[in-house]
Amino acid sequence: MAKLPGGELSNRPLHFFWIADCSGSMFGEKIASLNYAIRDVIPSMREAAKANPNAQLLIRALKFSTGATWLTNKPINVEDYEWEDLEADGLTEMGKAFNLLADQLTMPPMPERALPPVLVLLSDGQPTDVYTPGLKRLKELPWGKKAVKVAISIGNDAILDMLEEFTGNRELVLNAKNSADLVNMIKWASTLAKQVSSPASKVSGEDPIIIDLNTIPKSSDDGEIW
Amino acid sequence: MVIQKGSGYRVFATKAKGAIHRLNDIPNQDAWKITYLDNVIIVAVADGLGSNRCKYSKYGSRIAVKVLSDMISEIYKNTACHNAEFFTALGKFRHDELPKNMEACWKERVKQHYVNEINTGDPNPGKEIYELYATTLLGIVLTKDFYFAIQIGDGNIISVYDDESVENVIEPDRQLGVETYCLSQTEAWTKFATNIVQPRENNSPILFLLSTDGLANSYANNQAFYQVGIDYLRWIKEKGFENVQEKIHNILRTTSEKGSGDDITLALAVNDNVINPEGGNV
Repeated sequence: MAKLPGGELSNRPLHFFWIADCSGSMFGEKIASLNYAIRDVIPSMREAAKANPNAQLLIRALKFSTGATWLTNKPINVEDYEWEDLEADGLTEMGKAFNLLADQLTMPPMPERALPPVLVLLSDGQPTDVYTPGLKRLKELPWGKKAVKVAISIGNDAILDMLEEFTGNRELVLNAKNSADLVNMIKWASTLAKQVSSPASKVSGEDPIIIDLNTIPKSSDDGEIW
Repeated sequence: MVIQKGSGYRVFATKAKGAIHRLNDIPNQDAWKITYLDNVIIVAVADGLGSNRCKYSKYGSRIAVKVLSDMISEIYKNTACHNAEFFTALGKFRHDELPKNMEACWKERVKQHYVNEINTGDPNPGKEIYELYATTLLGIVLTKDFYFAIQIGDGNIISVYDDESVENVIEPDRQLGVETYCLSQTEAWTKFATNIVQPRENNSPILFLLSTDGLANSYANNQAFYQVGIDYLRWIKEKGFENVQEKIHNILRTTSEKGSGDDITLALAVNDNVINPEGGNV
């Protein structure tokens, strides 16, 4: 076919962020379940992305413990994305993670034309650093406001109010009481990419939640409680 | 697809169902309407929101383009079809009365549609039904002496000049992500943007392009999108107006497939002098 009118065509990027707590308290079954669950959902994210070629699903992960670090320097197309197992050690410097995240949600490097980013925060404890300036900065960014933000609290030690500050909605703070919960919740979080990637617009200024809250998995009492 | 003559411009419009809509067997929720009044052309394009919460938006968009056409036509007739008075009236009403009347009229007709076609058992539905019909709306009025544009929500109205410079006739609704203003909102009239321009002699745009957001969202950036207007102008100059019309629907389908996946509606208004450079209006 001859060249179409206009510049290069492009599907809209959808940036998906895993933000994982790798502090010492995550050691053992928690970090093992997290690694297993995220690695396990990547193939289904690839399948979902194939079913919607009009969105370009880009994944990256950020880990925080004593300090915060990107696992990959750049967003990776889901086709090429491989989960790198994390290890647990150190403090819970979540504020540093929020600042790194804010750097990447600023325009640029974020483009103006994109689908709302998805941020999935997984943590089992309370921040050991001053997290509020980083969180405030993140939430004041245009893309920070539009992002779909979900938190999965792992075990009973995470401070739900603090995680609600991140998500802006208590319903989007999920509580994984055991390994089975964590796997289910990570699986659900991975489906957010599909939910967000529809081209349908929504009415400005109304309910900011663009995902189906009815599908959120509930905590269970199956298995050993953390 | 329709071709209309008059006011120094030729206009045509078409819409293509989005790739995602074809895949999921969802109807095209866009609508367009071209109205010809003596020496005035009114072009209206609307994009029904299409989410689950807006399940009648394909009707909402159809109602919207009709409302725009009717409201502008009424103003034109009330000015005795005189261009100077028409210009004055649009200038006077564009910030307040016109958007208010358009919002009220759209909501009234939506209510009638709901009562007559959707839920005949509820003679007096509440305002919550408006979101079911949520739609954007953009339009342009072309005369020999001036042009007037009006818009609520996303979508684009751009003009292209003979030197291939491109301008936004109305600055687009730049909300990130998937949010847009639309007619269903409370006090929607406050979200309208308008522009009225009386070009200097020999400095009129020679092509106007109106499109729903599915087109601009198919490109990585504004420059790539603006190039659409330039390329259509070159194409019309080289191969003629009819050649573009024949191919445009398939082009929009492919654009949606490779780009946004969304429905795309495109209206092009081309100055007669581009089509008939030897002179003489059609």
